[in-house]
Amino acid sequence: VSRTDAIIDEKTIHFRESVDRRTRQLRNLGTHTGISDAMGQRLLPKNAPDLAQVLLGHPVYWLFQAFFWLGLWTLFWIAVAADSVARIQNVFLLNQTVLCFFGLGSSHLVRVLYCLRSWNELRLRSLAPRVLALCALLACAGSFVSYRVVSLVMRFPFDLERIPAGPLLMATSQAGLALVAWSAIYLGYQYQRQLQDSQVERLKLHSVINEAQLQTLRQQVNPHFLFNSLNTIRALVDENRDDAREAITKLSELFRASLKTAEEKVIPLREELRTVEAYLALEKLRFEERLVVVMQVDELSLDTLVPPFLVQTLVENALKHGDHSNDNKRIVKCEIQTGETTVRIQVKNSGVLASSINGRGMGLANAGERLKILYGLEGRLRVYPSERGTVTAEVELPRYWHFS
Amino acid sequence: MKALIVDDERRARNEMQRLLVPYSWIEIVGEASSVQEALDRIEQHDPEVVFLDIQMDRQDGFPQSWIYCQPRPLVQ
Repeated sequence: VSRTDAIIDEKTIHFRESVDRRTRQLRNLGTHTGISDAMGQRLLPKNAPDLAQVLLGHPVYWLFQAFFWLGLWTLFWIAVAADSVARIQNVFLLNQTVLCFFGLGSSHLVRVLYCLRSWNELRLRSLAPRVLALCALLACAGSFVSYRVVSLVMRFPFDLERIPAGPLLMATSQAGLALVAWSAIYLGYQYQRQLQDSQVERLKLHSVINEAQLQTLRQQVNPHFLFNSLNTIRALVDENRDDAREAITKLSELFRASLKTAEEKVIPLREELRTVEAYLALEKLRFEERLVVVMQVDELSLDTLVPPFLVQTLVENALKHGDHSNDNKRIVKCEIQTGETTVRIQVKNSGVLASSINGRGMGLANAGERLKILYGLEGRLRVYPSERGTVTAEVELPRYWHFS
Repeated sequence: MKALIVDDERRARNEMQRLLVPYSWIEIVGEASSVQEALDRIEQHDPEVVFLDIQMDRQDGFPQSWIYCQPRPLVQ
């Protein structure tokens, strides 16, 4: 039998490792490839923008475009309006208008680059030189185009050799600054949006990890216990058929409860106590008068929601580790008390607290982990030696809890 | 052949008895629910074979019983 124990312990450790591995995998998935759950399903589709979508743009985007270029144009118009010479005014305004339209068009195309080539995901260090170079290039092109248009409309003689450097340089720097400002605003906005998105993603990822951990930590019916129960029932068949039938019913109840843990995170304490009762009835068949169970349950606690198999784990643990060498009796006391906002579950057995090495096994560790995931700091489990030669496993959890 | 059944669970002892029924040449001379009791019965009945649960409530069945009992091989 002790060999079976060793095998079970080994299995639990294995189990534990698989939980860790899975958690790690999920974390990695989260940071490297966007979030997927274990099935490889994308939780948040990383929107792959297509060209048409980008070119069409969002109303907010167009509003921003209109404000930006119209605002720039208006500013310049105010500045130029002070100038009295109409012809020079017209030249400047025309130049400015052309530049603004050019800016509108080129920034719209630049945006395609930002979206489709994912420039908005670059780090600032690699992003800044690219943006500056692109803006400078576009500004040169823009000022040249505007000069050409103005010379056409105003019937200036257009001579490549004799382009006046001053106005051209001014137009270039104007356009360049405008484009850089535009890019800064646009990318800044995108960056801020991404930051928000990533926060939402992180939250979702966190809940996925929790869910996965919870799934793996969920208590299963101990195979060792199943083996013992089946042997007892086998002996019972000849002795008392009704009792045997009853025992089989209890066993099936226990397994139904265990099936349910896959579906529900929490169940009413009332239901959990039925599981405990079925479990204890089976153990009672095996140990007969050598097992004494004392249950004291405050009725007010019966509707409180608890993770399935929580109390059962405590009771099974007490039975397994309890010291019964004194009078060969296993005494397990289960007390459930209701406070204003909390419910306290205490399971006591005789014995001394074993050191953590061979002591309270994976069962309690898992139960504690489950509580932490479900309630955070509000749920806790501790094991401590209480009044003379008794060990108490105590769980405190919120009486009312809103489960997300 | 005289046999002794040692197990701390009453139902397990019963089951063992039942399983041994078809073997008419095995005579069950007694039962014991602990190692100490088993040693007394061994003294008393001098069985040739002991069916022993190796993990019982109070003590492990194995080490003590083997120390105290002189093995007596069937074939001399």
